[in-house]
Amino acid sequence: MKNKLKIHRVAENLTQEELADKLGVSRQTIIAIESNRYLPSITLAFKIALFFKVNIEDIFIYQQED
Amino acid sequence: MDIKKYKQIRFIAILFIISIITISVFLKLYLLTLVSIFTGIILFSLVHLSNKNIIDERELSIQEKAADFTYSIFGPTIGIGAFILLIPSFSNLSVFSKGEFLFLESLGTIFAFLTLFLITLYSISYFFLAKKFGGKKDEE
Repeated sequence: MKNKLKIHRVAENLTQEELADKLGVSRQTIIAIESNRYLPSITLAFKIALFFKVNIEDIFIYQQED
Repeated sequence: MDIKKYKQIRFIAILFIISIITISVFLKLYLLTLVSIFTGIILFSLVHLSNKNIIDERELSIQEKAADFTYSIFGPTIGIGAFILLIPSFSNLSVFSKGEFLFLESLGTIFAFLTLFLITLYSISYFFLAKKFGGKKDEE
């Protein structure tokens, strides 16, 4: 799973701390998601998509594993 | 985990550690006292550090994985430990006669019961969680 969270965050001119506050998660979670080290729950993924007013698949891209 | 829940868990942990320390001092088990103190220090330094951040789903996921690791390491360790400690009592060799290894046998028995308790607890937790998160057969 890849994601474009960083691109959307930078486009909105938000810092990781600000985005974390708005989503009610820790900054570490944002860092972990952006660096693909943590896969968020579907609830958080929807929260992120709703926050940026985009579809969930615009941020999170599913890649089939070989 | 919110702050209230964190404080409740911290209070229970403090109470538990203090009671262990008191009992171990009373029974003159100074090694257990030292271990309890060190465990308390490690626990609170780690929990204090992580509590500076918001405890969100990532934190919960880490806690779940940590609990899983703990179970998968602790279970086999005490299980194998119990087996090794109980070997002398089953041996026919005179050097392993019961009287000389009574302490090891008692420790092995405790470990064996702990292993059984751990497995039972895991099974009960698994059963209830499977029931909670699983669908019923007649549901479509």
